[in-house]
Amino acid sequence: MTRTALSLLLVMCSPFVLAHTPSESTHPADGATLETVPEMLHVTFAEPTRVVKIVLIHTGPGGTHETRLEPPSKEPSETLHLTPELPGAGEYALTWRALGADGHVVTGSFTFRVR
Amino acid sequence: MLVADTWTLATIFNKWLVYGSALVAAGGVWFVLAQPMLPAATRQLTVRVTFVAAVLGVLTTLGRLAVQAGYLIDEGWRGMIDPDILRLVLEGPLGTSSAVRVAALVLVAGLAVAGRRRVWLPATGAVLVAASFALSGHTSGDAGALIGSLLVLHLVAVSFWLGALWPLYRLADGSVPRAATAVAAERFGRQAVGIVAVLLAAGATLAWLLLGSVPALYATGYGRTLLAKLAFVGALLCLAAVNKWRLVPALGGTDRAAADRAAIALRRSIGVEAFIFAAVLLVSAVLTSATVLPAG
Repeated sequence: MTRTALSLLLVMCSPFVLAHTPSESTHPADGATLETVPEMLHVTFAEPTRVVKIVLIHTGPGGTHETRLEPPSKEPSETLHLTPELPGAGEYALTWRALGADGHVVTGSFTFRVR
Repeated sequence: MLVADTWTLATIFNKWLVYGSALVAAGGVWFVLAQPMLPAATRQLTVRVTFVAAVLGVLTTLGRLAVQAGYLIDEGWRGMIDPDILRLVLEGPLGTSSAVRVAALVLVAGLAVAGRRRVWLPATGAVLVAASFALSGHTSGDAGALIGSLLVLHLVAVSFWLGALWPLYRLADGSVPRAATAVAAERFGRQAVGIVAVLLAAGATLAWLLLGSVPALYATGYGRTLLAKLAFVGALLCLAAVNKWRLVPALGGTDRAAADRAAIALRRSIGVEAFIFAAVLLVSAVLTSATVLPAG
């Protein structure tokens, strides 16, 4: 009974969970393929957002590595600017968790590929 | 590591408890204020329930801060007690809203010792409980003043209704003279007409302001969740209508057997009402935790 209720609740929520305040744009663009590693990663949010956790996942010839990046500031900001040292070719995914202006938890991610 | 869906469910469950306990507590104040002729035993019971609900409201509100911290950092239960993350949550709108709600619930709990001359203190607390919900989330944005005021009106009306259920249920159990039950239920029925009108008008205007268009009602997750809430509210209104126009008049009638049958039916009806109310609050928790505003 409890499991059925929980499953129902999950089904109800699944189409729209974790979608508060999406980012407006990223650099590199989500899904982009680049010839060289980018010098910086940039995210623009729709409203001032306090980023608290950033994880960069790189999948290359040597396997998958997850790196935790330090947020440049925990103050509310409409941009997130990062200059991590990227290891080279492969698939990258940058994910973040943040506190939105209305108090909701905001999560987001984008991916790109370096040839 | 906990997955995001676990945090969403934890948030919904926690909010459900916050809504239920805080609104029952505030509603207890409204019931005592609106029923000056209440039998002493029922008044004492309402005051006790209000106190317990207020304590639960404080505990679940503090729990809400911890769940939000855990959700924010997503590193298992340890994130819920991470001082840096908790400080961030406290500095945000949720911190303000929680602080106001805790203070408001302390005032509400004071109903137990306020006496008739200082009853304005718990009454202020009951209004502030409603106001606390307008200080974070979907209704705290730029259009805050109008949307926030509507939400406060909506929640004061909700708490008035919700807080009356338990005392009315107990009034109908035969422990007080049937005439006293009939007077209180009839009085509540008269007051509820205006209260439900405020509840529906404020709720409908809020929905319009937050949704932005009629198609958003069926084309978005927020709108469809709101429709589910409306279905439950419709069922509540049907039950309330049966109570007001059939059961309560029979309760005060001269036919004793019919009055006894009406009292049993009224208790059953209020019990079902409480379950539907719980569903309405659960859907509201989904609405404020896991949906995106179409107009936002």
